[in-house]
Amino acid sequence: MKRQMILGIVMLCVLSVGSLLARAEDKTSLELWLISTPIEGITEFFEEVSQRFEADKGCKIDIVWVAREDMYNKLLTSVAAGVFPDIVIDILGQGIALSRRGVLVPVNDLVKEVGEDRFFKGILEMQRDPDGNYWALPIFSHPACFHFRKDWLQEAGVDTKYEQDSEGNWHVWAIDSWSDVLAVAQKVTKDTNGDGQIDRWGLGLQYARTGDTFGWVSHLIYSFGGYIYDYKEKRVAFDSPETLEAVQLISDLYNKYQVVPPDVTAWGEFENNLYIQHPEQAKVAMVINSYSIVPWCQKNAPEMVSKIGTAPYPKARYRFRVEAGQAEALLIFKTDKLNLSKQFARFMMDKDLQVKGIKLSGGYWSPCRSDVLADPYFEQIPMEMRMAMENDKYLVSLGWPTSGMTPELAEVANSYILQDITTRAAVDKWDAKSIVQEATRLIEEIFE
Amino acid sequence: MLLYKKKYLYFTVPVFVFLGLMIIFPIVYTIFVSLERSRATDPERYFVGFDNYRKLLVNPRLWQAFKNSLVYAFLGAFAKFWLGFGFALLLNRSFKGRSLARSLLFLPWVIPVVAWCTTWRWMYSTHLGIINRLLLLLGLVREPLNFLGARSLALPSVLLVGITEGYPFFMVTLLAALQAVPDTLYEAASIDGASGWQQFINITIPSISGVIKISLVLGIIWSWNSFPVVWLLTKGGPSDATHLLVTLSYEYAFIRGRYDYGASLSVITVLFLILLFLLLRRLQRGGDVGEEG
Repeated sequence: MKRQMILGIVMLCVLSVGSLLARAEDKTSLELWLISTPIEGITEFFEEVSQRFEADKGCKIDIVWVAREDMYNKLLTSVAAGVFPDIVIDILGQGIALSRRGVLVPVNDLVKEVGEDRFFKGILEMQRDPDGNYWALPIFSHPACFHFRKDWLQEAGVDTKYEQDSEGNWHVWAIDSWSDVLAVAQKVTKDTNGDGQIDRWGLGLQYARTGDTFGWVSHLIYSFGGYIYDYKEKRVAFDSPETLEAVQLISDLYNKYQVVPPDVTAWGEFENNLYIQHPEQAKVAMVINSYSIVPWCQKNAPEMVSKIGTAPYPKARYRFRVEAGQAEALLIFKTDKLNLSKQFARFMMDKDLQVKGIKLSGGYWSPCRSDVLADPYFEQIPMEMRMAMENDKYLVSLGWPTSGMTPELAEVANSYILQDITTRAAVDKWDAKSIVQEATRLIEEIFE
Repeated sequence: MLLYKKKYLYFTVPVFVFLGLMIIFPIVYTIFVSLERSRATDPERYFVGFDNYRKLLVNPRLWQAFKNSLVYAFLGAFAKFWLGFGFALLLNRSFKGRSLARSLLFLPWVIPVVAWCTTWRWMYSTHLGIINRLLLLLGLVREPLNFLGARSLALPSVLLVGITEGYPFFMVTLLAALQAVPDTLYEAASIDGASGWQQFINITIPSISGVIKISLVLGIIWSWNSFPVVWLLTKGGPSDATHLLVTLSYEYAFIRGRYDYGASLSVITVLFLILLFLLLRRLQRGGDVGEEG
């Protein structure tokens, strides 16, 4: 029995040492974590990337698909456990959030190789800390899409024609600002079949704890001139008068003007699209989104293509689009395969490869660099999709009004606190002051 | 004797090592983390004593989650029990298609919880879900119900999914217990003129009372610690209306990056559970003494 026990222990030791050695010597593969999406083209793209990289460099890419909502906590736990992947392509400035843990490699050299001025400013600044280090390399952005039902707006007497401004940007002037949007939403919201129930709503603002909700809430706050980080006081600040004004509008849209359907509180990731693009079940005239629904309509409901319009995100004081956090960026971890990881990052920076990815994503991704956007492919796509992609020039970092990001901001971005503002407005019908007070308390709770 | 002791050790040491690594260490480590300030993105950690507990115990979110956990655990376990018991009694009789019925009724236990919850999410959808469509068609409601988004409906809706997912355990356990009751008892009772109800109260219930008690206690513990149903359906929302202590603990640790609060909440959750367990044991003993008396 004793001999068997010793034999067992020896075998265990041999296996453990063997697996450790195997791991140390396994320098021919990279572990890559990606956000999973239901879009087939994206899976196809990364399969091709993996095959081409293996053919070029002899290095296999082990792809791990992670649900978008799980990526942040999976990263945090893997870092805490000390076992992390070689590369991650993720959103929301995760690189900055993890920068203090000493597990990431700054990508300043790679950014310089591509050329800082080629990236859209907001997207790049989203990856930069106050010391000037870039902690992630932007790969793709998501187009800024404010979709509207042309037919319903026209029926309400709204002029939906596109016009260019002096800088060549396309606009639909009738829904150019948040006050325009509110006025149009009030016109459109009505009971169309006379049963006493409103069945057509002005605006569908997604509630769920998703990136899209984060996108529109942060956009609204920043376009009013609000901010989340006070650089003077060096603290996360959610209580500026401009933020209060923006949150009041969110609350009013649900409660005072009642132009948002009450059931949005249960809408999931794709439901705001469903309620504008569905040929029979559509019930909202305008939605805000982080990708184009035009390709979906082309494939699944061609009769809807002519009915769906795209406009820039509405402006308040500023025409900002604070969705830089939606850009997908590549993080390089401090592993023993650093050189291979950097080679992969360079490989992903290839212009033609990025164009191919955007093409395959079918409106989900857009370029995050001006040289990629200048590719002839983007001249051929529908004007509305191109317009949405060009709007990425309005992106600002969450660190606005100063540039760059802080780990605190990145943490707030991942905390669902901004998303929960909509619940307090829509479900609990709180006023802006109470909502802001609670959000401030919850933010302070993260850092106390 | 010495050889016997050594052999005994050979078998028990690996078990203790396993328990130590997999159960004791995480528990001790969780308690340790709960006594320090520990944030996911901040490498600096330091001892704060019971400060995290003090802050959490005055936090209204904890008490909201505690109330929800009580409702979810007790109502959930009892509803699962009654539903399971009903089906077990039905399946204990012989009828045509019993095997098929047993398989179908057992299905929710076999289906992965993610698939089960996703299906329910679709069914609950306000304008596209089948439940609202049926309610509107039958004229039971004038406008669709916001099952997962309205404060008053969210917890009952989540609870219903938990019940439908969890009742097969009770059904199978109680069915096994029912099948172990000797037929001779019922035959003797019938000869003595006992009615079906009398047989149920005086033979069935006492014969399976041990299984009932243990399955109810297990049901309450499992429901108390149930995470996936709530997280997959509502993530604790809207406005904490469906947060349980376990989901709140997860949110603090892995969404807000406060490992310390998450760990403290886990310890509090377990302490509440131990208290509940002691209370249940006391009630059970009281019942037993009453029965004996």
